[in-house]
Amino acid sequence: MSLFNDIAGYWLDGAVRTLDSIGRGFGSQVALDPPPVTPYKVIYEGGKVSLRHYRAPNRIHVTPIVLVYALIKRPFVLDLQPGKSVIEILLKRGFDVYLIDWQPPTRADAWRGFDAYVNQDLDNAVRAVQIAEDIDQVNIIGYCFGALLSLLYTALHPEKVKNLVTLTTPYDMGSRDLAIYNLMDRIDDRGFELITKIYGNCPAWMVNSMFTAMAPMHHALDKYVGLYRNAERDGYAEMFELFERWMQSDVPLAGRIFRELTSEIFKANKLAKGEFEVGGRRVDLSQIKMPVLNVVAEYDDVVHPNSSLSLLDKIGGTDKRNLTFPTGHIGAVVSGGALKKMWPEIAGWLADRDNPPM
Amino acid sequence: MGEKNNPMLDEITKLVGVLSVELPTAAAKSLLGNGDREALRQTGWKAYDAWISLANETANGLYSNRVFGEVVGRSIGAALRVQRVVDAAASAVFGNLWPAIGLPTESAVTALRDEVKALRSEVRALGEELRNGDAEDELAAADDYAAARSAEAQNAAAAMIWNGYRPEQPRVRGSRKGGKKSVAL
Repeated sequence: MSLFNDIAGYWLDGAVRTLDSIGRGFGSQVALDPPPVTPYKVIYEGGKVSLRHYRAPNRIHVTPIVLVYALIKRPFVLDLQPGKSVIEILLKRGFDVYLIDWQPPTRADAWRGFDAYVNQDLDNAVRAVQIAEDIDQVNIIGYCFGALLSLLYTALHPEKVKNLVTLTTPYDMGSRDLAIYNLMDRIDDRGFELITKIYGNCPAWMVNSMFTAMAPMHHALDKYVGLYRNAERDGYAEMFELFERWMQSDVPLAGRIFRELTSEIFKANKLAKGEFEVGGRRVDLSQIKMPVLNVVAEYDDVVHPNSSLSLLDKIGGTDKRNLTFPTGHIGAVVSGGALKKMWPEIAGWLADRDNPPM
Repeated sequence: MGEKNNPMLDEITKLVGVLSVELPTAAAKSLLGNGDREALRQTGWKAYDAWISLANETANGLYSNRVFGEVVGRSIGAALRVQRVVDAAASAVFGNLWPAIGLPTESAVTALRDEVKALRSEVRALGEELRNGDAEDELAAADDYAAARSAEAQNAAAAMIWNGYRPEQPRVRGSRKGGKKSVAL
């Protein structure tokens, strides 16, 4: 029967991809990215940062955007296909874009914690943009873990940020709104420490397993059935292939930042309580006085909306807004609706605050 | 007091409804010729979707279950502890004990293979040199030499794996016509 044959074929392809990813995860290899859709130039490399510059064809705005991506997967999801690219949208709206492409940590990088990523790498990247553009301030857009890094950076270096956009930010981890959070609660701090004692970093396959555990039936069967059901839809199969490639592009998480994330941010919820410290300095969100747009994905199954909605209460400025959009965590950067409506709205919000325009 | 929502019960009700009413009705209509096959197909997918939703809800229920969480949490902890001990044991055996009892490491065997490969290519080059100079007798001698050295090296590799035998450093052959010397094993 065609239905079973087709789904079995898709499933086998997926199983091979998963095994391949697990195999890579045990070593230090990271899968190759697909060819870039939008051309860019690397303008700075240092620490664990490779800073890409995407030049707008018709630049309108003075202040460029620094896109801070998450540490746990490769950033090509932001530039997946022509017409389905966050970067393309921002460029078309007249912004130059700088993307922080985090380099995967090796075992020797296990010492890297929030201090190294925020106060060294991210700060160096912003400095590189300041020099390249001859400006004092940048716009920052952070996505997921990247939003958390952006938030910490902005609180610690507010003078360098003109406007901040946080997208699906894991800020308040006090509530256990997602079932997987309850499961992670049962792993004690010693368990997380053991992971870094054994592997140095949190291995990529473990990061992948966590995402798989969030929707086991989807990853085991439903996505292949979905491919079968949508195979006739124009471009669906190509998108599926690219998206799967991204799903398997997990990157290890440096040992120290993994421990800080799990024990201090996730378990003890220190950031929301105002007790979180980076490099010996307490992160005081009231220092964020510039305009802030906090984007929340209504159906987010990775960072529950309740974990980001309360963020603005602690922000110091008055020009702040929550933008709730009916999409999921990944949908926020790949879904047609988000790309057609949400991202132009984000670009518009930034454009309104680009003073003076070019 | 508001009624508490039970997502699992909702999903079960949905699935039972599709399986017991909608699907048989659509199948019967299709068999009697009153309905099209597409309607039956759509109802089939509806049943599938209901089943997947129920499965997802079951997984969420499991994750939220205290006992299941305890079991998983402890299993992960135990597995990590076991792995740490295994890693430590493997490191002790393969990092220290293995070379101490004279067994070669993977890198030693690889290095030996590379040396054999280099030797072969040198001998091949030498053979070419001899052939070009019409020195038939020297060619035969070189081939014999290459075969002997290759066999010796291969035996050495086997012996190294078996009991840690390490071949002696070879004597450097005297320079031939071109003054070329053999690589050191």
